[in-house]
Amino acid sequence: MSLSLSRRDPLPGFGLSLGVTLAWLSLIVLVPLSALALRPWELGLSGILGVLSDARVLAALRLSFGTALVAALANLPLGLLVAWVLVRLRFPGRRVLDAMVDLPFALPTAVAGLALTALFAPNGWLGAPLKALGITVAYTPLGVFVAMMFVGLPFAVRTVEPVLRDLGTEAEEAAATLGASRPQTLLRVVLPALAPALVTGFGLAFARAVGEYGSVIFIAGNRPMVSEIAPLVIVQRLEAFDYAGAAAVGLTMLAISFLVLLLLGLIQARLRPGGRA
Amino acid sequence: MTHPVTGTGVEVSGVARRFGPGAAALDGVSLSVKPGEFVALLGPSGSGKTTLLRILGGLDHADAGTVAIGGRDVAGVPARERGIGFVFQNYALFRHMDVFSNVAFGLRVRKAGRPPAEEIAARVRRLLALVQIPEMERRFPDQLSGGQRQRVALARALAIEPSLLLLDEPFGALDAQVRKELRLWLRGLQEEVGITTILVTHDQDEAMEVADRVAVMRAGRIAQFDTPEALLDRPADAFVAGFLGEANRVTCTVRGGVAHFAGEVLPPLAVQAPDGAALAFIRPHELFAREAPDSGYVVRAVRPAGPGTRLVVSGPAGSFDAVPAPDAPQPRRGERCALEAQGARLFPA
Repeated sequence: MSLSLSRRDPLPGFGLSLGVTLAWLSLIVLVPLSALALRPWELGLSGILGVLSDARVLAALRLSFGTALVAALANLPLGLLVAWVLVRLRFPGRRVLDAMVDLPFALPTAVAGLALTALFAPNGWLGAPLKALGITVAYTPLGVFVAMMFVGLPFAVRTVEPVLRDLGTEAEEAAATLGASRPQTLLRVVLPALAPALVTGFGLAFARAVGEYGSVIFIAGNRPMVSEIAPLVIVQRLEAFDYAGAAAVGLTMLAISFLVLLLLGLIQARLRPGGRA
Repeated sequence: MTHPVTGTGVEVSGVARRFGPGAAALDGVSLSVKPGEFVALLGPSGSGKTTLLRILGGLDHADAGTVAIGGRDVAGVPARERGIGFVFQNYALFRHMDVFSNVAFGLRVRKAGRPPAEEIAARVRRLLALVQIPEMERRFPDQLSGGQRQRVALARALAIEPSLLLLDEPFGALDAQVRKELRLWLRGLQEEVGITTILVTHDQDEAMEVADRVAVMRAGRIAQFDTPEALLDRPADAFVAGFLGEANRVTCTVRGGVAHFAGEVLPPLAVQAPDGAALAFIRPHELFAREAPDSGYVVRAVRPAGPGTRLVVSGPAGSFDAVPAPDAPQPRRGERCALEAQGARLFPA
């Protein structure tokens, strides 16, 4: 398609809609991000590298991104299962379950963090039996993982659910009449059809988990080099009036997140029908 | 096709199926389909025809009764082991696969006896040639027209070399012209391949045109199962007579082999029916209209219909579809005329 602004365009409003979109996006996304991108250079390149080579910063970045990736990945099968139950099964209480899925969206994150901490603390309902098994959740990276899964789950469910509903049961029935077993039908018919939605759900859950602050810091314990997340490092630098250092960590997070989301976008383009052509 | 397929017979006896409370979807259906036969299940929506088809395909189960395909009771046989081709109403193509992969699916998922890749490719290409879309193999379902999707669905179902082909309203989503073309083509294809075929439709033209025999269904039962000619000439009951073809319905009383029409809307007609009240179905071609200046009937419309002419005649007793009497001048619109029935099928009222 050409970028023609001709009035004979069959779908009018091209110029107007593109103009408004770019202006709006600039105002609320690009300008703040540019400020973030410009600020660290006060330190000079060597100063930025100095901030980033700090072992504590590196450990926090590794924890934030590594755990967010694993949590988003773990949310996929769980999200798929919940979406499947909501779409395919009819049982009393289905609407309650449906509403419950959105609770992590609605709950103030600090409340979620406190609740999870109370639950998984060494004397909590789940923490105590887990401790007996030798597993400590609260104040460890595992706690970070649990909080990140909690906030990311609704994204995995809500992106897969409409696609699964739209898929219907006919394609699966067709696969059965053609001789496919249940596992074959799931692997060759259902999952490929859901794959683009799963990638989107993964991306959203990942993005949310990386940026999550409130619910994570309570359960994480924030021990430097062990369970300290990158957003907390930023906050600490801000509190120490090291604005440029905070921005340097922030810019790094932005760059890594952007790369991950870009990669997911490319994967998704290949998963769409015709994408392999 | 290089692998000639021989059809199997289907024996359905006393099959019942009920979804929740209320009327049964199927209420004691029995049906016997001969090998290689083309049968249509015809009926209004809710008559149970799709339920019967799904039970045959193993996508649903019967609460009572037996289904035997090729002489074997298939009650405990799941759909994937039946080897039956099923074409869904909305085609149910795999949207993330191209045409080639859709057609190859049934061969690729085989655990035992999966043909080598070259043979699968050769077979898929033969099938696409058979359904006349050989150039479409790299397209995705979204890039095809409705008729082309239908052909892909058919090729996919035929790829597993089924001995029985089940089609659920296969032409329902297509426009009239394509539908007509495709059903004639399907009939030709069925004869070429020799596969036993059962088609569900609510379109009587479609059923009458393609099927060797038509099972007319109503409220979970088969009202009549016969050839299209017999259904039109000798309908088993008032439902079949009313559902198939056009007919004028007139209540009458039979006395001594003569039908006296209520209100004397038509002259009495000699019939072979027991005495008593009855409902007469008179086809338009059996109802002759003749000029008669003092008649209460007026010709409202004249329409050329094939070799003859069709008339709509109305009077105090209502409107009738009729034809001009062959031995008299053709009545024109607005002229008064008399009606006379030449024949009728009577059912006790």
